[in-house]
Amino acid sequence: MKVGIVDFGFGNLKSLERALSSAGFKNLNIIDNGTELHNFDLIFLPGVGVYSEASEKLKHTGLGKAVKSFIRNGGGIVGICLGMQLFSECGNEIVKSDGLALIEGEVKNMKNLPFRKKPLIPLVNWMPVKFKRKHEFYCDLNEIDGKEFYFIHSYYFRPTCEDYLAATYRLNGVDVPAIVGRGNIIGLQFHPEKSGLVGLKLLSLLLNYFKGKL
Amino acid sequence: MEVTKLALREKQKIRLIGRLDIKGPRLIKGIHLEGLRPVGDPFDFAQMYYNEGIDELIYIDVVASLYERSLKADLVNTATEHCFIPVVAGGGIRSILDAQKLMKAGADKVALNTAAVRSPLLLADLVKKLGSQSVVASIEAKQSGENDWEVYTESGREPSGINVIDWARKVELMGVGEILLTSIDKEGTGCGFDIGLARSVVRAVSIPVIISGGFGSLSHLQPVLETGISGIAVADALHFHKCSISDIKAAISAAGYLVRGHYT
Amino acid sequence: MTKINKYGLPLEVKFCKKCTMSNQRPSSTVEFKNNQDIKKVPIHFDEKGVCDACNFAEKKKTINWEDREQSLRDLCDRFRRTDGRYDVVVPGSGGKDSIVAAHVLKYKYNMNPILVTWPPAIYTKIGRFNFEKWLESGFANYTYHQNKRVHKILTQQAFLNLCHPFQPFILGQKNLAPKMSVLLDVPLVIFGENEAEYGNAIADNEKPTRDQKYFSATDQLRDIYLGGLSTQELMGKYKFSLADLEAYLPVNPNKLAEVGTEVHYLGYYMKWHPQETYYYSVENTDFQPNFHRTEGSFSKYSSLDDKIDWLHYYTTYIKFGLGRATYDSSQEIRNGDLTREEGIALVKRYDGEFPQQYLEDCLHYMEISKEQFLDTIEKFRSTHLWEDRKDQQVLKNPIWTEISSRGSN
Repeated sequence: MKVGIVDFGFGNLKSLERALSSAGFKNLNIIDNGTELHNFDLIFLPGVGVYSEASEKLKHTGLGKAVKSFIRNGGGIVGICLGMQLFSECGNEIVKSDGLALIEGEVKNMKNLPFRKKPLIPLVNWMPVKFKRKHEFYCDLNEIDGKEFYFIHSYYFRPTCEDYLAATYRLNGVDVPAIVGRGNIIGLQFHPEKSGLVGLKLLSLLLNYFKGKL
Repeated sequence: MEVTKLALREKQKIRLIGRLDIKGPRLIKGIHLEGLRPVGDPFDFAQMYYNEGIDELIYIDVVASLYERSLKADLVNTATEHCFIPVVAGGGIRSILDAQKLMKAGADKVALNTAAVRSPLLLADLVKKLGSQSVVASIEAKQSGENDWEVYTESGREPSGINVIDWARKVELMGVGEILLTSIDKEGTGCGFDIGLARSVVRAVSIPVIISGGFGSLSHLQPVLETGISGIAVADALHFHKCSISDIKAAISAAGYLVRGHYT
Repeated sequence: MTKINKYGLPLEVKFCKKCTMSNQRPSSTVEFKNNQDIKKVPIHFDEKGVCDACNFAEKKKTINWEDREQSLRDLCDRFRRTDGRYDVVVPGSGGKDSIVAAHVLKYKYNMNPILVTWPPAIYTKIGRFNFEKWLESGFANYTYHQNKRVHKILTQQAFLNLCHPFQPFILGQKNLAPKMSVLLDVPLVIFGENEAEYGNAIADNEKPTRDQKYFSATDQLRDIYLGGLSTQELMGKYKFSLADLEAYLPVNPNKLAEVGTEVHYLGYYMKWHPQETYYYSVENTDFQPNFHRTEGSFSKYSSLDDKIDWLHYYTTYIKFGLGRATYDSSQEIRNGDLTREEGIALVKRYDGEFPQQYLEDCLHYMEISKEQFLDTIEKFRSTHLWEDRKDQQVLKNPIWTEISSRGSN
């Protein structure tokens, strides 16, 4: 299985690269050109930064189109943090801008969620992630059900369709999306490469998951 | 009981952070931000803390501004090689380029003090470029009156004339994601945190505040937790094996607060 | 044959290959013989360009400290009193070195120290604070409060005649403890560090005792100079009596012999590491560092108590091109706390910083005007070290030009 990490100038690839390597991924490559995507089976889309700027970059470089085409052709994708949020149709950070529209729904500011008590935003903390048992990911990933992962975000992505919501964390009375996706598309709001041993565990589970699927 | 447990579960966890003061290739530990006593190899200590369940690591080159240089990216590179938890890097960051070098080398967040006090807009520029979650304002404060603390720069050597509350509010305005608050009076002493300082700054801002300086015994935790801080940075007590990470976390949990890895 | 100027300083400036010190640094002077005609003996460099202080630091690495500690125990055993009386005089003013000396002698070696203080001319707030904390850690203290008029005039004259306002302090600092030893009948005197470590002849460091020449003389008045003036001049011009000057005069060695006074320094028996003395002081007493950086240097823990101190280092900068940052960084380099590059960066940044904070206090104390001050500074500025560049006095060969001339960093 050929695995690539997409570099579109947003986020820290090094940590992810090292974590994936530790988790057992071999043949890792950095992809900075959309034309290379077809050589890969699975890609990681890590992201840290501002949605509108990232959206602009994806459009401008043609990478956005290339990713959509890659998925249509059966490729697997794991989005992390901003990368996960870019799976959406659009985001509202600074200005309204387009996402990859792999999953229906919008990215919104966490401040608007109906928290019982307003938490500090950005949310920077370790939160236990709870799976929805009926979601298809549960079969392969339930080993990490209830475990704590490192989140750092001010925006959230809740898919329009419930079927795409795989796991959440609960904060002050609200269930905040933590994992979204179906089939070959997996989006992680948290940073597995920053979540210690449990993060590495998840990555190795993902490796097995995709080996089985692709 | 069940309701209380549930209520507790939803609160945010207190983050326990290992603080590593660096000079060149060495881990050092001063008292009142003075002294260069070598402790050992920073990576050995970092790895140990990672294995023992620390939530985050901070690497600060404490003499960088004084010697007019910056934390080396190489160090961050090595530091993050086998450590899969968030890492904050700081020390002599004076420009966006300096910050980007460290981020590229593996840091998740950058921390600024001296350069930020000299030019607060640098913080805003960094926030714009890197995102607020990646920018930490490192504030060194010394008590100057009954309820007053003054901000210092250059490793606790230059009084700025600025009140810590005014500065905390300013950095929040500039958009930083969180504040690392170090008490010059308490740091390295193991005599307990500066509770007044912690409380005052937490009340003044709406962003997370990490308190640093003075932790020496488990009994120091309850009072500081009550101030509403989001995290605790520990150096001395860990480097010199006064407390273990699991003991500290157990004590935080026993005090009624959540920590990663512990549940009531 | 090295070419020297009228003060005995080499005309060609050279820097030690290991630390930041230059060949302009004078060795310790016998202060009560110090007048304008006296030639300095500058620090010695070996054929590899390394200064004596660095060579001594290397030698220190081979010392058997266990043996030395045993010698200290023997020394203490020899002088320890079992009748409850004081058995060691520890001089100081509450700085970290004297705090460590007193604490270690009492709590580790079971001695019964009496502290003696020759106080600074103008105490700083932090100095007074630490002095109190010194006593609070369990000691009694005799402080000799100088005749303020005498001390002021000597300080003023020392500045005007020698550009050395610190001299009256140094005189008392060296003399008082041996005198108190005689007065109190406590033969053993122990200082902390031997400043000979910083550049006196290596021979000076080979023994534990301070050379009597620094604090004793058989001729009480003849050939004695204070503030650059002979005692006759002082007594004539200012109507000082013998009693007025006694505190500054060297002690009669016969008196020392009667009591059996021995002046030792702990730096011979213990590996003296200034940073570690800082830590020891903070960890074992309520000693506090300064809350800001010392003007002219980079640390917060050294020589905090005297407002004249800052001015003193400014005068060394003018006369020898060596400011506080040079002295401090050299020491830290030798102890392995700084690299030479780091030292040079600090020297470039802080050396010779104008003593703004306490200048007014010092001038007011010495009763001289700013003009007199500036004239004196210019009078003593070493012409072989300084030059006029765009109406500013600039060092001709500062240490940091070494790096830029090598073209690398």
